[in-house]
Amino acid sequence: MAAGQSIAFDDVGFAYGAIPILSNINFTIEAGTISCVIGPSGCGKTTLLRLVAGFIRASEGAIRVSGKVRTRPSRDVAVVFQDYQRALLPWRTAYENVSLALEAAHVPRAERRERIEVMLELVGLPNHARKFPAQLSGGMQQRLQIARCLAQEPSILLMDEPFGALDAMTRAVLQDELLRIQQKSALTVMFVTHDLDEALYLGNQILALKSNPGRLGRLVDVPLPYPRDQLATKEDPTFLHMRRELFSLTHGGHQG
Amino acid sequence: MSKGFNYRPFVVLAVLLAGWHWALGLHHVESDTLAPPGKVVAELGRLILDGTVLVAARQTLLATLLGLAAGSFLGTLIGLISGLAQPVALAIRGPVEVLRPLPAIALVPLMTITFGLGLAMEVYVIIFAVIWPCIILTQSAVRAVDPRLLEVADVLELSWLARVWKIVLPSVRPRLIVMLRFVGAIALLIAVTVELVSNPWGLGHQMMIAEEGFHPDRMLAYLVVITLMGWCLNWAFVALERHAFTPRLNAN
Ligand SMILES: Nc1ncnc2c1ncn2[C@@H]1O[C@H](COP(=O)(O)OP(=O)(O)OP(=O)(O)O)[C@@H](O)[C@H]1O
Ligand SMILES: [Mg+2]
Repeated sequence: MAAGQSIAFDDVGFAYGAIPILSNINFTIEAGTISCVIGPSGCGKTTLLRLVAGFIRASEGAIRVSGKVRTRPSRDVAVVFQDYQRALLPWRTAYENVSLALEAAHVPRAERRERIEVMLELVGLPNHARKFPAQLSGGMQQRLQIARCLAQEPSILLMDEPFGALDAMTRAVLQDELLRIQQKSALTVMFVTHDLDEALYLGNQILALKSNPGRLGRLVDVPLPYPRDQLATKEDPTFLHMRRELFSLTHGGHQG
Repeated sequence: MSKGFNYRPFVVLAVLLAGWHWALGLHHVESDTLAPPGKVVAELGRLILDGTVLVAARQTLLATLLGLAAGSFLGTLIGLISGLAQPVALAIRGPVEVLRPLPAIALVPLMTITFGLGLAMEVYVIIFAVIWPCIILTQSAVRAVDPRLLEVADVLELSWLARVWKIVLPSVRPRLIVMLRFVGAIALLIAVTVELVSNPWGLGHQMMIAEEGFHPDRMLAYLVVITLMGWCLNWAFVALERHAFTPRLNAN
């Protein structure tokens, strides 16, 4: 897998017509790190992610990926959409859905099979290759989408509340899988979540947004060591301390 | 959906036929337009045996299918391109809106002058009738493709052709098949109408001759054949539709 790239936000602003959605966003995501974006609903987290993806262009400032201004989507930046049902091709099997990424990269047919099987294995779906998305559970569908994104061999992985609709068990499993894959490949990950615990558990850095217009509330480093552990990390005094400190920031946002 | 054979429509049909026969027999009607079903069936048998009905049916079917294939192919292609590219949609909107309300049948004289009587003229009129609904229905189907899937295509940097082939066409396939059923009926309607109005071939023309020669039994026999052809076409499209909508459930 390609090594990560850095993402720099240089005074980024975005508006839908006259309505400012994001303004004065300044920060950098180092190559090979995980940055978690938190903030109240509607503050512009998805918009920020879509800017990095290249679906929309910044109205002000620029986003630079390894120094190059981002203008359009590209294969080295994978996007894990929140609504995984809509992001999979319902007429293709799990196997064929992963294959799409390889077909797009013009991987010769002979090489595809093995790589698809490796990807399905990686996300724990090796026995479901011939099933259609509709025959998979929500958690399996999301894992399938992640498999396709990884098959794309991105250097940046953008994830928009990827585990939001999943049960706590599946969620914990997928969090650990993500960490394992990221540690192994040095992907750069930008991870949007509503969940402060999830952000602290996964991130090297946390970016807390404020609403109206969306702007940087706080940017904090998470000094917890990797590999992280669902029990030990969440009982770590640093974790608990940071959780307390950031809690008001995210939850206060709903009232303010 | 019931699994067993659905016999009810046939019961109704049989009752109606019996009523028809009985009514004509009772009043000893000698009509130029009506004949008892027995005579119609006998005439139909004779027409089948001497081959005239088969020749005529083949002509009508050929024109219908050629017109349908060409018209729906062109219409779908134009609908696809204009559904994906806004400038193209804007460019063709004027011409489409001007030409679409023109009744295809009104083109028969013009087409006759241009192509003469025969297959070509009939096919062109059918193409004209079929192409507009195909453009409009395909366009709206393409616009209804989930934008999320198009974003997936963007992220993967699919070429225009791959995007159409791998994302757009499979997405719109069910709607296109419904469209085909819809315009299939239009194609047959236009074919028969053109034959009734002027073109000297096919079932419509034979029916016309039978009527003008005061052969109500023969006229009705052709009507039966046209009805059967309509049913068969519709049945074929329904089968296609059913096939297309049944998910491929080949779970391992
Ligand atoms: N297409 C659009 N046109 C106009 N305004 C939009 C559009 N999409 C989003 N917005 C507005 O932009 C703001 C930010 O939306 P965004 O989806 O980025 O929020 P979010 O932080 O992801 O919220 P959530 O946590 O609920 O997903 C919202 O106020 C929303 O109303
Ligand atoms: Mg969002």
